[in-house]
Amino acid sequence: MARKRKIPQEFRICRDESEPRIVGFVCNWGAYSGLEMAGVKKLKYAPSVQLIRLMCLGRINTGLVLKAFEFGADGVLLLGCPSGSCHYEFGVDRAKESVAQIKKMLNLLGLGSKRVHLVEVPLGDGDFLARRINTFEKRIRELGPSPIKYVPTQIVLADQAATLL
Amino acid sequence: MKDIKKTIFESKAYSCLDCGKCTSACPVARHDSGFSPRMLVYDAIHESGPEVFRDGRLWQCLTCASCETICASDVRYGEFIRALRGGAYEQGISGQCTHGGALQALMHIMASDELNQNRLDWLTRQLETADTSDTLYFVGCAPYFETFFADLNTKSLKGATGSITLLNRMGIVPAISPNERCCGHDLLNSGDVEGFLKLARQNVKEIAESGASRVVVSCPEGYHTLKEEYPRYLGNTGFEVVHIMDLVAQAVLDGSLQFHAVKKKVTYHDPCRLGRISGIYDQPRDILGAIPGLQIVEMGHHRSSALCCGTQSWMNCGSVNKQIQVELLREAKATGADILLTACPKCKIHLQCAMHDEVLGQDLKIEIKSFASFVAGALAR
Ligand code: SF4
Ligand code: SF4
Repeated sequence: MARKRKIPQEFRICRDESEPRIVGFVCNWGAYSGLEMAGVKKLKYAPSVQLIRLMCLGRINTGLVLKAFEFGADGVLLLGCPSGSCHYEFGVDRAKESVAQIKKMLNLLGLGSKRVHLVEVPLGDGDFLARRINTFEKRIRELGPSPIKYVPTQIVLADQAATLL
Repeated sequence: MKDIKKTIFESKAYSCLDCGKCTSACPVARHDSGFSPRMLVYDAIHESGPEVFRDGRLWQCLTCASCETICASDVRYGEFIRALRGGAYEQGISGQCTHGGALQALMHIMASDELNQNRLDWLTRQLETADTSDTLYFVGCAPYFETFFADLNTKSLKGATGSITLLNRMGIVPAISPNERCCGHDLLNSGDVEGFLKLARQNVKEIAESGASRVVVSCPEGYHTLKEEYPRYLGNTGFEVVHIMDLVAQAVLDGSLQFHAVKKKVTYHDPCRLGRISGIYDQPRDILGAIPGLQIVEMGHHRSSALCCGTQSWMNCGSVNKQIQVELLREAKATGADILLTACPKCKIHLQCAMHDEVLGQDLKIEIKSFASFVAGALAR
C-alpha cells in the first residue's frame, strides 16, 4: 500500500518555489495584538511568512522548530512578548532557552544559527512588528534556500489510529 | 498492507510454543503486567489483521533481545517487532516521540543530500586524524547528543575522543567524515525503512568517497547497523566494519597496549546492541582485566542477562522505562563499584537522566563513564 504522504497545510499554500518559506510562531498576546494593529494600520509585511498562532511562545521547543526545518522551512521566526511582560510569566524566557539550543543544533547541521530568530514585540506595536518581519524575510532571502528537501511521512500516534484505519 | 503472515513466517514466530519464557525475561513485562512478548506473538498469529498494527504495545518493546536470547524455539523477536512496526508505519502509525520529536527531526534532516554539516568542532590537535586513510572512524550522533543534552551534561563525545585516542595509540590515524549521517538505526527500529535507507545510502557514499576499506565504530547501535543492516538492505557495501573493542582487545593481547595502575572498582554494563545482539561480551572484560589495580565487579544481571537501559529509539519513554533504569542503577550501586562503565552513548544518557530523579536521586547516583574514554584514560603514558 502506498504511503499517505502529507505536506503540511501551511506549505501547500506556499505557491512559488523561488519565494522563501518562513514559519512564524506568534504568541497570542503581545505579538498577535501587534499583528492586528499592523492590519488595522494597513501596514505591509512579507507574505512569505506563514504565521502560526500559539497561546504562548513557551509552547515551542527544539523539536517543533527542527520539525519546521525538516518540512522545508528556510527560516523560523518567533514572535512573543518582551521578557518580563509574558502573560504566563516565564513563557518567553523558556522560548529563549530553546532558541539558544536550536541555534546550536542548526550550527551543527550546517544551516547556521541565523535561520531562527526571536523577536520580543512590545504589546500591540504594529509598526515595530512589520519592520522586524520584513528584516527577517530579507535576511532569509540573502541566506538563500535551505538545503533540506525532505518530505516527511504523515505520522499518526498508535492510540489515535483506530479512527483512521 | 504489509503481510503479517509473511512476517510470522520470516521471523519464525510460527514456531512459538507459547511457553512464556520471553515474558519472564522481558524487562518491560516485569514492570507492566499489560505487556507480554508472548501475547504479541499470539495476537499476531491469531488476529493477522490490521488491528495488529494498531496495537500500542508494539512501540513499548525495547528490542533489547532478552526474549530472543532465551527463546528455545528461536523466534527472532527483534525482526518480528521491526516488521510489524514497518507495517504500522506504512499506514501512518508511529510510536510516541520523546523530546518533542527533536531527534526524529534530526534524523530526517540528515537524510538530505545537500547537507554540509559542521559536526567536527570538538576535534583537538591531540587527536590525530587524516583526510584519507584505510580506516575511517564512524563517530555516530554524539556531537548532536552532547549539544542537545547539555542540561544533563552527558559528555557524549567522550566515547569518540577516547576511541580516537585508543586508535592513535595503536598506530592508526583514522579518517573522519565531516558529513557522516546518523546510522539510521532508530528509523529502522521505528519502522521507517525508507528514512533508514536514505541515511544508509548517504553513509555508504560518504565512506566510499573517503576511500576507507575498514570502518571502526564504538557506538553499539552504529556498529550493529553498519555491520548487519547495511549489507542486509544494500548488499555489499565494500567496507569491513569492526568494533573498537575488538581492536583494543587484540592489542592488549599482543602486548602493544599497556596501562598504568588504576586503583578503582568498576562495573561494566553490556548494552543490548553490543552484548545480546552482537555477542561482544569478553572483549570489554579482557580489556579491563589488563588494567593493573582495577577491580571489576559484575552486576546481578550481566552478559546475556544484562538489563537494558530502558529506552529505545527516542520513543515511548514513561514510568516503566524509568523503573527499568532505576533497577539497573540499583544493581550497579549494589556492586559497590566507584564507576559504572557503559559502551553506549545512549545508555549513558538514559541512565544519567534517571539519576536526576529528585526523590530517588541520591539512591541512584553513581559515577558513569564511557568505556572508551575510561580505557583511554588508563593508557600508560
Ligand atoms: S520464549 Fe519463544 S517459544 Fe516461548 S512464548 Fe516466547 S516466543 Fe514463544
Ligand atoms: S525485545 Fe526486550 S523489551 Fe522487547 S519484548 Fe523482548 S525482552 Fe521485552
